[in-house]
Amino acid sequence: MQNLSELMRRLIASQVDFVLVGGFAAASHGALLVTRDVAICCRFSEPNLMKIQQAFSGVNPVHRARPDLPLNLTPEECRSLKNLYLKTDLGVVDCLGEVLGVGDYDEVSQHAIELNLPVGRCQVLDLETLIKAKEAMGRDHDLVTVRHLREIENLRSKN
Amino acid sequence: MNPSPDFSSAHDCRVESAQPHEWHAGGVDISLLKESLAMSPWERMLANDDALNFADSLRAAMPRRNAKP
Repeated sequence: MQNLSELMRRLIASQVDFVLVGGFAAASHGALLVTRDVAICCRFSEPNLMKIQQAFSGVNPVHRARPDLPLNLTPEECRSLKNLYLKTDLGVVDCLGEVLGVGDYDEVSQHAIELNLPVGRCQVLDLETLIKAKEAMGRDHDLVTVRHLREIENLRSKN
Repeated sequence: MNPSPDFSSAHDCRVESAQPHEWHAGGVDISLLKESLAMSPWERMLANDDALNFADSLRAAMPRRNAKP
């Protein structure tokens, strides 16, 4: 059973420094496309990565490329990681050190809006920057998402 | 010879149930987009989960349906 919202709740509850980006961010803005993963941009510091590990304890986090390898971060690993692609019992989480077309966590967080969700406050990449990031990715499904996001932009500007 | 069945009422029904759709040239259904925007961000995230799980249940059902008895 996929439960991306619960993954979000866990990240918030563990006080991970992150900005929601990607398809789930697009969904939060109103895009109608269904996404299978939670993509976040986060600070790749040891304390923050340890919080991510703590957030997913109990839901069997493994490295997506090596599902036989449970998430068991060491300080050495934390220093060398640029991205972290995880699979959990609740769904897939992509932790990115930077977002194409935008930059690293510090840059991304400057383009974030804060959402007050029932499970806590969450930073989400703003609509304009998300469009920019999706255009930079340039895959077919990114460009379809861009069409949705541009229509949302149009509808919001009319209201 | 039996008379041809009268489908006119069914046809009327279909016409009445057809909702006007506001399409954008880019293929985005604006009426659905407006419905989405009427929800809160959290409701939209939960809706994504529901749609994802529904799609997965359909995907899982297909091999069972196609399995030889």
